[in-house]
Amino acid sequence: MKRQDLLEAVGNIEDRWVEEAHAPRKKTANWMKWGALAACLVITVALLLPGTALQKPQEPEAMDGPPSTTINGIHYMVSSYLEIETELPEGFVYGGVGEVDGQTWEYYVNPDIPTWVYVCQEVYDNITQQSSMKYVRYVDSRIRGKDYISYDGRLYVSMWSANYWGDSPDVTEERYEQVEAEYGIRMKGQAPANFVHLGKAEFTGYDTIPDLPLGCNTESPEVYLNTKDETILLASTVWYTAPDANGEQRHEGYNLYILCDDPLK
Amino acid sequence: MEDKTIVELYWQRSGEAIPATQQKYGAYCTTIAQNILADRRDAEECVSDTWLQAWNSMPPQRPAVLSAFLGKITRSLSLNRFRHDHVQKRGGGELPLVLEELSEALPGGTETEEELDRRQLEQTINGFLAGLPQKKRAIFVCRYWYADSIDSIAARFGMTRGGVTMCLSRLRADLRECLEKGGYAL
Repeated sequence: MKRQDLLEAVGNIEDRWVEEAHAPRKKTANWMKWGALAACLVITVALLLPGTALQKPQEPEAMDGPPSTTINGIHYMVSSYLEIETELPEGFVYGGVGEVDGQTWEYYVNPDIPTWVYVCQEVYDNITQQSSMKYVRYVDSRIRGKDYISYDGRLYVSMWSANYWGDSPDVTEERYEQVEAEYGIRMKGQAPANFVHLGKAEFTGYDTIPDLPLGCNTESPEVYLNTKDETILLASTVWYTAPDANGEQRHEGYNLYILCDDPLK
Repeated sequence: MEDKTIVELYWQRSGEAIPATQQKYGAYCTTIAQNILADRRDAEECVSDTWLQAWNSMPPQRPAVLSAFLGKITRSLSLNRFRHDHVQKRGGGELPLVLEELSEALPGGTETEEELDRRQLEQTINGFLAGLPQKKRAIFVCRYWYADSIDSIAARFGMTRGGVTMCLSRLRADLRECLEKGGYAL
């Protein structure tokens, strides 16, 4: 096999992976809610220029990254779940005027949810080719895109979403690599014998930091605790692969979660 | 204009089909071509050839995902141009780096002359991608399908350059393991 063979084989991957890669990251519930509209909104939110009521999206190579803003020293990035509302959500009040990637818009805050702000901004719908004012959720960048489980007053982050680099790592690189070497990022099959079943986590909502006795901010998995090392949790999951010689397609197993510090500290 | 409307224009052999395609996907296909070829004129020629190939493909084809259908044509044409014009001697965009990186994903870490079942290889790679979380899969596809630069990927996903590099390194190692388990020669 040559590297050119790999390059050509990658060229024939499924169309959905090609489309997905250049669309904003999203989760199933909100993606199904917004459909193709959501695929365009994040790209276009940051790209409307002053003085243009209707602005077609810029070429992809001009995009600087997810729209973001800094308010009172906290950096917020547009929700990875594309939470966009027609009406201002309950509990949010006018907070002032801020900038999103060079554009000035009004923003709204909720003292009970300091990790979110809603920005009232012009959003271009690539399907209707119309712009309208919407309330777009921006999330504290320290928690944006993170999968968390809370248990017994402690917070755990998924190995999939944990950062061990940058200014605010969730875990040290050494610890991450240690856990990955011992357990991996995801395991298939039954939980090992030393893991005890804690119960079904309660879904606390996307973009939240769960604080329930057993809570999760992505779904409601069955959760297991490593009795030999209580810094490790397992959360049940299902995934799918292309059929092989055995016809296997659906897999059941667990995502690894690792104890982390308070991300807002 | 909706994709299905554009596809219908091709089926009706309407003169509006290519202008509509160009308006909606011109920038998208140009990005793909430029990532591979770097030279703007070469990239423009490949994009123009994409519209011709699309015209000749529809009918009989009626793609469900028009962006991916067109993108694959552009990518294939660009890769052919890259090979035939030896543009790697002039820099060749991201492609030389992408090929260098893919070397790490080869079973055994080296190139071999073995005969390949290309269909099986594609199936193995699709299986590998299906097993990845969405973000990591998207990062892989951005780098090795779109040939996006590391900086572009970092900006798209709100990561640092080092984070993207580390992620891609792990993905290549995982792909290599997947290929080795799939029975490809070491």
